[in-house]
Amino acid sequence: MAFVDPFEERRRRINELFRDALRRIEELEASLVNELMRLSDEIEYERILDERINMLSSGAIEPLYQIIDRGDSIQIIVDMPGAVGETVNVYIGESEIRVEARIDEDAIRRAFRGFVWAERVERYSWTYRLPFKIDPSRASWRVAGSRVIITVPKG
Amino acid sequence: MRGIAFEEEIYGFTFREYGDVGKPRYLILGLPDVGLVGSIASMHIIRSLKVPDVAGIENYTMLPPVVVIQNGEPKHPMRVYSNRDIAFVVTDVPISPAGVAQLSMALVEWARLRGIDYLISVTGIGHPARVEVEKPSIYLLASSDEASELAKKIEGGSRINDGILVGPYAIILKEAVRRRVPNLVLMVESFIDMPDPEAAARAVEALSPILGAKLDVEKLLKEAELIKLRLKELMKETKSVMARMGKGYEYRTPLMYT
Repeated sequence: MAFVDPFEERRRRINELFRDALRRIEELEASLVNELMRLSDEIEYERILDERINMLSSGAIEPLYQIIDRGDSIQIIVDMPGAVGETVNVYIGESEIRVEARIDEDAIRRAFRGFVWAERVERYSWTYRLPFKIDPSRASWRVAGSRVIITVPKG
Repeated sequence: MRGIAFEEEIYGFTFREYGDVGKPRYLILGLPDVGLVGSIASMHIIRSLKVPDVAGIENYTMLPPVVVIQNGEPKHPMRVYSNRDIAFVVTDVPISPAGVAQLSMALVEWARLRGIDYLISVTGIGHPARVEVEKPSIYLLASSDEASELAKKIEGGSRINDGILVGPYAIILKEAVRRRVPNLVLMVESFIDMPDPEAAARAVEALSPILGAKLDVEKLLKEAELIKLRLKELMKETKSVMARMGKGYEYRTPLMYT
């Protein structure tokens, strides 16, 4: 008959209990992470809905933009596909940049294929608050295709 | 949304087939990512080759509760198109970070079960000075020798030697290696958070010799403005999802270079 060490048996049982507990904690952690991600998705959906309701009721849509730090200057690219060239209006102030343009009616019709929500869409409007004060007289802008490229020197 | 002929659940995602998927050689993945390059390129090829949609991919908790309506017909937001030789996966909704792992695994497993020879992931690679780039460069990443052989058919593409890939295409690549489905990742320099039809046109040109079809990109370039206007909001949603997925990791150096 084999000798059973009661202490060894107890040690093994305790180890098993610890392993089980750890596994449960890991499972709980994974489900909490998933739940957090789902919650953050819900908040995101709410933000998107609010933003779009505001946008569509005002008839102005916000263009996509990109801000690139070029070291001694900041380049801001504002993309306004379908904008009517001669209506592009750029205001560069000390602490704010505003870009506006009317969107070609035909472009709206073709892009949105008669979606009811797009009925009032007629222009782009975008305001960017600069993180620092600038000298507007040193800033410049140009249009390249559908993009307005604004260069703001630093300092 | 036509009557379902066959339904299969893989990793929580249901593949509902209502048309003939066949046994395609290639599965092109046009998931929303950098510059929406894959999505735009895939839709252009689908339209050019008149490829019908044959299946929907659903998960009622991980995808938003959405039905897309086209010409009065309700459709699944995530769809498979197939002409029996080439298949595509495209989606009208961004993939939430909570579902990206399962969806990626499901897509690779579905491709394996379907006997697909090659998975081709099409995406953009963010270029900070994209506005000054006339002709975006193409980079390739292959999961296996077979995928490397396929990459040789792409003219002007160079192998990406260093970098970090983040998002569904990263998991798809890892799963493709694990499940032995050759995966070629085709990356075109593009705007990060603006739809980039010009970069998508480069991807379409690159795919032409693989697909054995001369794909005209003139219409795509002509309609670039409309595409950008149409996809502006999908790009915004995708940017937010990319950020939460850790896309920022792509723009740093890995420890292993030290």
